[in-house]
Amino acid sequence: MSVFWLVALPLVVVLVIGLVIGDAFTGDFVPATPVTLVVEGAPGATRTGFTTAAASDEAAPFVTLEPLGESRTGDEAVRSGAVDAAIVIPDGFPLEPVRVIAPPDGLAGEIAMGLARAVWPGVASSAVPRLGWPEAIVDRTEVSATPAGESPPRTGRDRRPWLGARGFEYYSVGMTIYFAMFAALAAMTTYGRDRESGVYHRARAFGVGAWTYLAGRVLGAFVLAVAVLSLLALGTRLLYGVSWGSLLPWAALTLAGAAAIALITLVPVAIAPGTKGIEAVGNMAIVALALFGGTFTPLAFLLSALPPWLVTATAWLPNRALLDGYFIVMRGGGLGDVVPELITIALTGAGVGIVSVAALALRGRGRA
Amino acid sequence: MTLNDLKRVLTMALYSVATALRNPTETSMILVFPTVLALAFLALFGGAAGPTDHARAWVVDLDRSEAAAAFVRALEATPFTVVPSDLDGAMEAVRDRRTAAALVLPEGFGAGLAAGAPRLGVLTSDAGSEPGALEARARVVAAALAAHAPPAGPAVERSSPQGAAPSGAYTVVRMVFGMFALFVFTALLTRAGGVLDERTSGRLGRIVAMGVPYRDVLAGHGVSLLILGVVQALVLIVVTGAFGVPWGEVGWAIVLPVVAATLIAATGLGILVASLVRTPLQVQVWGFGMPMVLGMLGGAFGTLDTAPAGLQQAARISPPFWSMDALARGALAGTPEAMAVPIAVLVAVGTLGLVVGVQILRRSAP
Repeated sequence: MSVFWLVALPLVVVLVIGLVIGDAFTGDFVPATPVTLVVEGAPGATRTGFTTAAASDEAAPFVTLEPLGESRTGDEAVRSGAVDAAIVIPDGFPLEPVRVIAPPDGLAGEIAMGLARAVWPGVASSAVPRLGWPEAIVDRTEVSATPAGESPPRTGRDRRPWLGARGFEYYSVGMTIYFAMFAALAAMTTYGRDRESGVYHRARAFGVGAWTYLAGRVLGAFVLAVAVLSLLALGTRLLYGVSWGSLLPWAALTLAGAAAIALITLVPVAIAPGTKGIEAVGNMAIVALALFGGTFTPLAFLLSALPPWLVTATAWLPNRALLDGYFIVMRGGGLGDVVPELITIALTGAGVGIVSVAALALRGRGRA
Repeated sequence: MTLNDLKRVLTMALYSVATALRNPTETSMILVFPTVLALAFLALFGGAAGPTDHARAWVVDLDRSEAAAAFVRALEATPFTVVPSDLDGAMEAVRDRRTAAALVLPEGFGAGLAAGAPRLGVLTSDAGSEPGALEARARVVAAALAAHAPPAGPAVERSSPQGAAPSGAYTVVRMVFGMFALFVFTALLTRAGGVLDERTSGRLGRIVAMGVPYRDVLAGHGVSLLILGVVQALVLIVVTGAFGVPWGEVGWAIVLPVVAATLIAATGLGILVASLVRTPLQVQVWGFGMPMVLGMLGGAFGTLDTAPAGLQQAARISPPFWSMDALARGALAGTPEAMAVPIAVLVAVGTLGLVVGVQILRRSAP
């Protein structure tokens, strides 16, 4: 059953998320079926600009242009379900905004918005002379020697190594760390259970020191975290073809990460009474770490949504540093490239561990 | 079933609910955790649901005239977040690709605008590219100012069809409802272990030995699941509503039937799980593992539009899929009738789970 919890379930979760997300966060994403679209507006150059773009070969995998047909308006076409989205060009274009009408959620609106935004600059610039400014002079000044085009490939030294990761790749790393934290918490929960069942006190009666007993549990959490991190790396490699990079930096990150995770699980032991309290506090702490550490939401999106101070703060989360480190190694980074991440993991793990031990000492847990 | 039977069932149900809510772990898992997580997602991503974009525009104002200031204000209204800069800073931003382009308002810009022929500089890393959004908007704004036309609004706006929920409001509601669709199954399927607890602890045998019909015990358990689900839904809706989730904008006539149908499905499946589990570990697998997988498969965390076509079809085996589908259909049409099919599926799932679960439990009566 433990194998199910710690290995099979994470692999199933990665499988489901990997399939659902697919290439959605990469430049290679193509929807399963193109979005059907109508363009509503008075005939003319502007409407032609939008319809030509929607009917182009480039847009074909994303959009299928449909005639308005029996629907009188784009709104009606979307409401009746005849098409997925409509682009409506107002009479006052370009001073009035182009409207994209789509269901309140989903890909259709996003794709139609993307198309409309991409086409708008060209057709709007063409429409400017109609506004009474025939010259419309714009100086275009080249300021950079860097040729525009493809971004350079991601390397081991990249500060955002997870950019462009596919669903399987990203969530293999994210879920591996996430479930390793749960595994360590499960190991640490036995400390509370042992105290409640009397096992702890019997061990103490046989001369085992309180801190020795606690250290044993932390060591158990560390070993379990290493096992889960390793098994899931192996499992995702074999099942989903995820490449985790060179062995040495990966091993260094795994050992440091497991140690930090084990020390973090001391926090619920230090502040919560009883097994159930440890479980509750621990579970919530893990979800909070995962939430801000990029487990649930890819960091590319998460960091753009967070205020700057929180972006800085998340860089100090050990699970975030571990995630960054793993991706650096996956992009070809060596041991030297992940030193900053290793230092972050070590400092935060040690810091949390020291504070937790101090709290335990204050509560007398280390003596009782 | 007599009135006394009903009272007995209700008493057992309320006792079970009170026991669950007195337990800090269960309270945190049923009430606190889903609500806090929903609020965290709301805080992080709720603001990103707006219908228009706010791109950043580096602007170098070398003219410093009133006309140039008016131009910048109009550009901000389109909307752009204008970053005032000197020439070197703007060039550096373009070079570092922090922005695709920057605008330069040269000396004499205001005079040119008054004469109907202003000059604008555009700093870009690729001189051969098509006009970008910033440049095109700048041209339109300048042209509008020169022609004394109304200031240009946003380039592209997104809206829902008439009668549908506003896109921004729906996105936020969907996000929070997805949490509910996930955690209501987690909570009720986990609570299904209550029957197992009563059986293994001997309480079930003692209750039946005291003359309480076994069917009343099962009914009490089923009602307790439903009450817990209602409490969870109420807390989630009230608390997130207090923090600004616009449930009302999507429409209570849409939200409440979906919540009710989801509760029925979760309760029925809870009874089914109660009939199948034999160990606490099985309760954990059914209660935590399955809802998580089914929730992700069913689109509780986001739409399935990006999934392959086959997976979009396979998602129909997941009850949360039908919950999310019902909400989406209702929000698009603006009328509860549009949700008939997914709600019927949820009720059928709940009924089937209830019938099969009760049959299995009856065979294992003490």
